[in-house]
Amino acid sequence: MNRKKSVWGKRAFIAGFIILTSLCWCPWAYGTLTGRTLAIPTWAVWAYICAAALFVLEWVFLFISQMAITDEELPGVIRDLEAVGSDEATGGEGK
Amino acid sequence: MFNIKIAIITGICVGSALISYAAFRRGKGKSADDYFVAGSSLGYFVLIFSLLASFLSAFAMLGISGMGYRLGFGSLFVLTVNLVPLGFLWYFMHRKTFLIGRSQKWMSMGAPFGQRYGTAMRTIIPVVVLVASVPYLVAQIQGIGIMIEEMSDAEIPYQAGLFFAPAFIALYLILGGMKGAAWVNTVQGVFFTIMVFILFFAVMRENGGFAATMDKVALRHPEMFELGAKGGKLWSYPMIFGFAAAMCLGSVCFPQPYMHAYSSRSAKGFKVMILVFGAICVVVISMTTMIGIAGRLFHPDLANADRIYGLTAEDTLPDWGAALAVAGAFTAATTTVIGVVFGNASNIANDLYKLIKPKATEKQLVRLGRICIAGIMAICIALAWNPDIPIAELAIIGFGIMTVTIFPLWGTYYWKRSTRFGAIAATLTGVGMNLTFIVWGVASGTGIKRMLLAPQDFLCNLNGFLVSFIVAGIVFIGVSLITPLGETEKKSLELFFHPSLD
Repeated sequence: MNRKKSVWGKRAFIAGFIILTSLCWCPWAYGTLTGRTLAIPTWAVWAYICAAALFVLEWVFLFISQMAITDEELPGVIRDLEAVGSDEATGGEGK
Repeated sequence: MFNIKIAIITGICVGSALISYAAFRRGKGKSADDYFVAGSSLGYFVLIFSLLASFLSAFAMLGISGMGYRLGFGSLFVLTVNLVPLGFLWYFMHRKTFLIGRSQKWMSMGAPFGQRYGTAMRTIIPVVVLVASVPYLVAQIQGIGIMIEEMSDAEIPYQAGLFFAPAFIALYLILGGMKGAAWVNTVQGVFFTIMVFILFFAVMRENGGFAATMDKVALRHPEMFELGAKGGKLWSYPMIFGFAAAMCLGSVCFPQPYMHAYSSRSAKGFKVMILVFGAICVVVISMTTMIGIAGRLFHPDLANADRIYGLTAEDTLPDWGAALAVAGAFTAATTTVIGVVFGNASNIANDLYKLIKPKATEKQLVRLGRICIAGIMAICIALAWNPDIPIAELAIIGFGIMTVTIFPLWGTYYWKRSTRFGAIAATLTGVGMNLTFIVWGVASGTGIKRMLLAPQDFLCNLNGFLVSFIVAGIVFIGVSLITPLGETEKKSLELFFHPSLD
């Protein structure tokens, strides 16, 4: 159940990320707005709003959602990965 | 003859060298790990401003304010709002760089590619990075030369100015390594951020406040507030998307995020760094953009728009303040040179040299790193000798070339079926197409910048960068699907897709 919830949570974050990123990369939904708000173009204000919304979403994902790596998990993950031997492809790096 | 601006710049550079040396001496040892990735010991405050300073450059300060001056508010899609997605993109693309890099003690950008795809890809990556970095570095060194010439009132000629910053950079890099560079970047990052704030408020105050300034600009130049001006050609949606995607995706692929991921002390530091970077860019680069926009009121018909940042500083601040503001732009350029040069030196020493000499000692690697720094500097100065190529065009070329490596990187961490053939073919195809468009732009008279970033009718209204990017992605997936996994790829799956990474 928790696993299923986590998968759907990740999908929701990814969907939000894709939508907001597309709005930050191209003003397709607000580029036709004319006039000025707070002295700058109204479309620019909406670009900032989209960027702010994406920033909040990223903050929630990284620090609130429990989906991102934490310092509590870090030593265990590093230990597990260290156990997997690095091979000769690294030219000896890391060993 | 004493020149206060040059004295301030010299003071900042000498201070940088001393900070670097002091930071490195604080460390207990001088192992290659210390030299290249600061022993994975950097806290998030240092990481944030070091990453910020290693990216923000002459292009970001002088180029973007010049772009704001010429093209208006549409410039906000070049290095501000379009960089906020980096919080997610860097996490997804570099989470495993951080985790596996810590466990395997990676020290270069080529390490994940080498361990996943084998030695051929590990050899190609540093060469691609170097090819992409050279025009970007030349842009910074060129910007430094122009600034020195302007600040000295032409007492120091442009060509002599080219040697000024690289000499200091080489000095403190040779003394300090990554730990020194990170601390210098941090101090300089904080410094130029403060100076941008001061200049922004000075410029707005000079015209009666922010709203009054924008009202005046809007009255005289209403097209600067529009999208799709000039018959729809200026800031059309394809043009905006081309700029925004190139800059954001290029930021994922440059060596700086790799090196800073390796240098992160904690998961929290890594996450704070990638989250805050875009937000700080929005604030700082929006200000430089608007400084350029407001600059229209001071100098309505400037021939070389890249000078507007320095000129507005001289118009609105006292001499010493203007010197410090320009020094902020100067440090932005020098810190970018630090990040890129050091990343390349690390790549060459750890990826190429270790292939030739697997049992190279740490002392030998550090020595080679120093030689690489000096060599790259010499090449860039030679190329910057002719200042005809604009700063912005050079920087854009670098970002466009680097972006094609995003597919092999994605395959490294997230696609078990990716093969070395797919990675090599995609990288060579993408870089080759970018270089072809560059040559085509020069040969046809269309221009490099126009060919790479302006939508072209014959490319289905896409720009050269996006076409190269899309083709590289198709090649990567197609070639990977039709070629078998080699022993290296099979063996790497255990590490790169370890259950603890889920």
